[in-house]
Amino acid sequence: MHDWQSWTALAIVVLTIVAFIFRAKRRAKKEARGCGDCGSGKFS
Amino acid sequence: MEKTLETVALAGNPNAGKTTLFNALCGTAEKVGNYSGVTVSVKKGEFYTPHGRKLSLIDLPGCYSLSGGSPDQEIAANILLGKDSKHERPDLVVCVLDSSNLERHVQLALEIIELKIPVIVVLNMVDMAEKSGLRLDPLKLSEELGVPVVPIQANRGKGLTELKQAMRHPFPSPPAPRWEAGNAEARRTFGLAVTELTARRPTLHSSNFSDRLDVILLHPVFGWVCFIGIMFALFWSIFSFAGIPMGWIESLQDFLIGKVEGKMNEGDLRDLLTQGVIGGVGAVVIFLPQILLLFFFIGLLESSGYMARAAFLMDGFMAKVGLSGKAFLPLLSSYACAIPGVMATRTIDSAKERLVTIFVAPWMSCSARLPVYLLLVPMLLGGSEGGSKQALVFLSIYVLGTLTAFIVARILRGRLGPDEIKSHFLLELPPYRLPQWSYIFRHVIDRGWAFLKNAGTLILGIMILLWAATTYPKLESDDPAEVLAHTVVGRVSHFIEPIVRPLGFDGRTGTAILTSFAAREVFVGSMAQLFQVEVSDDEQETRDHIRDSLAAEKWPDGRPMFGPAAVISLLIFYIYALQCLPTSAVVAREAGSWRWAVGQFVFMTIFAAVASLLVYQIARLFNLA
Repeated sequence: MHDWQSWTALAIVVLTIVAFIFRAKRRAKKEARGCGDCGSGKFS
Repeated sequence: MEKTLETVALAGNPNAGKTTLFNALCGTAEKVGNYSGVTVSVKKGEFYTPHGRKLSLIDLPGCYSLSGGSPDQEIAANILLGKDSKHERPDLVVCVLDSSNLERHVQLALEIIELKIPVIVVLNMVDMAEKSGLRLDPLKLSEELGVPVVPIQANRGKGLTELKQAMRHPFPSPPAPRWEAGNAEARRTFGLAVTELTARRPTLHSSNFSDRLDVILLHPVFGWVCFIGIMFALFWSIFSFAGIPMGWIESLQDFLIGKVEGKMNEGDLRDLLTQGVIGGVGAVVIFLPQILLLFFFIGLLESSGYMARAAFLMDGFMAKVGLSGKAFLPLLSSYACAIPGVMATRTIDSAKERLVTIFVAPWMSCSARLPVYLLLVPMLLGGSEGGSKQALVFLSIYVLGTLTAFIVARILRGRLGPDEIKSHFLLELPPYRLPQWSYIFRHVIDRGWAFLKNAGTLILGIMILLWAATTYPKLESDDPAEVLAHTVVGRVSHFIEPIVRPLGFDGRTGTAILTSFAAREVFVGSMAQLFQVEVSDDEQETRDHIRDSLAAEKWPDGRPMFGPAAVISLLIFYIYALQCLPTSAVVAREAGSWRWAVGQFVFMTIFAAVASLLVYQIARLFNLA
């Protein structure tokens, strides 16, 4: 863990975890947003 | 609440072309199809009149009358009657009628006129009506009904300017009905008399193209031969036509990996970019061509009118499992994606039949399973992609999911008991139509974009986390197996191996299955990372790299890890497991209870694991392991 590549990779991993937490919170507030794969089923 | 825009509602019988008109007016690409019950929820949009006035437009689900029984018809009726708490009563109703079926469609228009709200009647598909010899008189119809009547061709955008002109302010005042309002018999008699006056049919009925084609496609024997032939051709095309664009994606992947490796020294970040980001996400994105092809062919079937014929063919079979042909259309839609399939069950009148259909719909293999099947099927047959053998195995996978769904539906239907009110299956067989190419291509591009967006967000995130889990905590050693065993994945694999071993999987495959509970297709990228598949510089060699690497994996006793038994066991697990959170959310909403969604998830996961276990153990008895 002494080179810049290791630290940058670790920072990306931490940022990804933070992004997942934000995503989960945001999605919990909204109703069913349809299929993540094909976008089907987005409805009012 | 202050009302900002005046609302125009599109109402009419199913398959009258309301959503096609909605798309033409608002410039949207909402789902359309040449069969009844495509729209089951309210769609909203906005458009401008030629005078620059902005109007809000809502597209209602099709209904035959304002007292219809199924949930989708209730939504439309409640909005028109002003009983819906979420939507205000519309200021103007555009009643869309299929010109070829005026005698039936005009009945709903008469019911809406009785509501005393401004109405404009639109005669859609006038070209097809005139082609069949019908002589329409829109002026006379307008005189008789007391409302403006506009002939249009929504799919070609013809008559839209005239329709927008008719919507100019003030809206036409509601006419006084010329029949006894509230009397269904008087309304019916008036409707028939008006149709007689305004739509004259040729005296001699001659069979048209649709009638002649139906003689074959609805034949008790040839109809089934054609149905199976069409499905086989669909899967064969998915395998055969996607090779070239898949090669392009692979080349791009190789190019990117080459660039990163050329510019960066060895290190964690380089590993993350090449193995995690490009390798992991690329392993999923490579199946984009096949997913686009699947949506293209389903779009063709939907817009040509064949879907309704398939439902008609299946009606007798469906009755044997306690469902009606009405349940087949939602099940057929689930081959593309379970979510619209579950929502399409709103067209089913019987609550019990609806619940059963919702329960089994995720067993129709959706497009998200495609990458997993495409990885495993060629492994099973020991060759690369393509060919009729693989198409046949592919078709069998879909048939197995469907048959299991029918058997479970039969058992569930028996347990729920008969309906209090008996409902009958009435299906409109629409005439065959040329597909709306512009809509199909736009639909396919939208679906492809959604797939790529998912790959660039959720799948990318999972791949980064998986890379971290295969990297940390670090161990200084020259033995890669020892290094992996020290990581989070190594420990998880070690923990779950005894659970998944009887199913024929090692701990890494078990971990890949666990990651795919977030999204099924993640399995492919996870396998690429967990089995440390390297992407070669040689384009020809990279095509089957994941499969080759997996085929080379061996158990400690020297047996191949991915022999036929293990591959079949994996396939069985993915056919049956419900690994889709958005589907569970929609099931909970449509069934009105989270208990159904949780019960469905638990049941399908256990079912998948037990089926996998049985298949693997039986296959071992036949020395297929």
